[in-house]
Amino acid sequence: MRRVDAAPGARLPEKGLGLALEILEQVARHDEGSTAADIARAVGAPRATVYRIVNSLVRDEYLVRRGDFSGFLLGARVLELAAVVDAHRRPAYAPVVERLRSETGEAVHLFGFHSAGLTIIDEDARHPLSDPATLLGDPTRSAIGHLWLIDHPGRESPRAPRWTARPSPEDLRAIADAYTVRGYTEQVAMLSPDRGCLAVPVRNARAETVGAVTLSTSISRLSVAARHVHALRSAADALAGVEPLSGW
Amino acid sequence: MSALAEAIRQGRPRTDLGGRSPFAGLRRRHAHTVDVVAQSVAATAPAGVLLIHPGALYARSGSFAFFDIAATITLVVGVALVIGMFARRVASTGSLYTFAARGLGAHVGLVAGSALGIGYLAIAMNTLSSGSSRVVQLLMATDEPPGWAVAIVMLAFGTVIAIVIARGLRMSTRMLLVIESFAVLTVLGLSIAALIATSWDLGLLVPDPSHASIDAIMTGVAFSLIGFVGFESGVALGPETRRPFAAVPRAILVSVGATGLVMLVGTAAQLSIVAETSGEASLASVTGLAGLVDLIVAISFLACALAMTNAATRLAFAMSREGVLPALFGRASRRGVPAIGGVALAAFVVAVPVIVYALGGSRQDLRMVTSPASTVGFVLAYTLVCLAAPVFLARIGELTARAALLAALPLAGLVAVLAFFVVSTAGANPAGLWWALAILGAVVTAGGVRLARHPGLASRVGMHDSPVDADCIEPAEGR
Repeated sequence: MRRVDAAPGARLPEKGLGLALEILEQVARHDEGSTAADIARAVGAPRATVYRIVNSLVRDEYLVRRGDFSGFLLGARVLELAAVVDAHRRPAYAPVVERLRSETGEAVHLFGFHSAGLTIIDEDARHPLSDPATLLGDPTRSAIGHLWLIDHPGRESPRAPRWTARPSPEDLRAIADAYTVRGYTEQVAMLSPDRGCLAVPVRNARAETVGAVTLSTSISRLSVAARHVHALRSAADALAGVEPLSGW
Repeated sequence: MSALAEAIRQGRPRTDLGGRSPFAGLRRRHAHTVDVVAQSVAATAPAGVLLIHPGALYARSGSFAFFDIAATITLVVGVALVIGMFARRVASTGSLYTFAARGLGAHVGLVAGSALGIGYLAIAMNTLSSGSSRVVQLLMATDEPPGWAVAIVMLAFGTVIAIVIARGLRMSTRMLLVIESFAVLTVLGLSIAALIATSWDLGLLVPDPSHASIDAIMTGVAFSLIGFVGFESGVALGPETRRPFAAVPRAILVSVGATGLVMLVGTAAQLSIVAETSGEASLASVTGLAGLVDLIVAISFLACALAMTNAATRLAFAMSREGVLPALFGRASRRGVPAIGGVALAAFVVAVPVIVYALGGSRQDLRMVTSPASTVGFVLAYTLVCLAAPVFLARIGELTARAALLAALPLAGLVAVLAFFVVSTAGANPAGLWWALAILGAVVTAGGVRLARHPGLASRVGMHDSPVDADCIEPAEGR
């Protein structure tokens, strides 16, 4: 699991930086030499702008001109861009999840469902999961597991963790009934003695539950955490439309 | 962003470009912007030029003298911008020679390179002999320095130049920086003192329309232009400079800006003195510090001789690596300097004036040829670079209307100056001009013969510091 921590300033690439990265991407793709004019056509920006940016990339040695001036190569200095490129590659779900974290002030995690278990898509780095092994092994012990038991996609994911425990039919019925009443699932002190958790499903266009967004907090604050359910639901709606859950 | 991210993640150096630069052996990427500025400013020798030129310029152009300086600075800034177009894309010790060859092919490149080389060496000989004879004047307290004494001093300074060049680039540039800063600050101090003494009479800076004539202006610009040549010489340090595509264009503009400013202030001061007391008035007579003024001129000119020889050494290095010049000039020493070539060229720069003196000639006999040779050499090289720039940009698919216009304006100015200079010198100093043109013609012909005899050589002309494996990373696999 990789959580992308964007450096301040690199978080929202300004226009010039975005175009510069796009130009570098073009060069990375077309290694056998494309001229500045080709690059301008490919990125669809004005030629003069592209020439200016290309030359400043050459000036700072992120790009290197081929010896015969037929095109450009990636300069060794692009290695210094690793952090910026990762920031630029910030997944589409990240802003939604981060907004939810800042609005609620609680631990928010994002999961995807597959036919035999869960995939952690984004774990809250400030409040890591208290017992991931149990969480991923026994669906009855977590709010998110309850959601999975109620509905999950047929998606195969051979390398993702799989459930190791199997719930009884009575457990299943109780979980489903509780969900029908509340519209979300809840877990108290089943993973960690002082923590509880709420989970809201992320549904795709066919109304299948493809994942879930969860909010966990201390058990003393759990009953008032229900006030965040609305925010969780809006986030779940937004998350259904963006990668990776949109393509689940 | 996947291809880029993948390439970064893998982070493997390339393997298809080769591990050696064409300039292998030269100590690459260690000098800084300040070294390039030092080289360019010292080659321009603003302190020395300031103490000699304005009076002479006034004699030539009258009240248009200051206007001429301003027009020349405009032209030089234009040329510097065109040089910048190349310097942002090509790093080569061949500087303008490589640029012209990249735009207009090997043969035109050869003309530009020969012209530039002759310009460097002519100015080096000129300033070495002028600086040395001033030193002798100071030491022997005479106005008529004996030839043998000047020859000995030239030998001594020539040896110093050879040693400094052989010791390494930064040794020479840092030395140049200290010397020229001292000289310029002193001259500016004297100028301001003179301005105060003459109560800031700036009346002569305003052109008198009744003096206006194309002749006067062109003579003045051609004359002041020679006071700026050398500003481009820092370009030759590209391969030895860290981040050359950033440092070199910036350094050239800084050099031109700084020398331009110093020239404007200094010229204003000197002209106000000329205005105050007609005749032989000068900074020396006004301040009563003739000795100091001579010393500054001498120091500035000797630094200029060093800088010009340094630049010529770099030019010869590129030509030698291409195979145009003998391998001697392309040999790099243990310190990563073209030391042997530098020593050979320093010896040549000393030998020519020494031989002229030995044959009973004087500094004036030398100047008769070196003066037109340097003007024709530099102006021709600049002209060809301005012509080459749009062609080169079009060839690599980066020509814009702005670049074409930026190249066309100084080109027009340079062609006019060159034509005017040749025509007027053909009247005033025909022997010197024909000598200069004959030398240029002979060098170009020799080069042309060499290109014709060795097929394949022409394709090597225009060699530059092309990237090696370690400068680049591989694209991600499977793309």
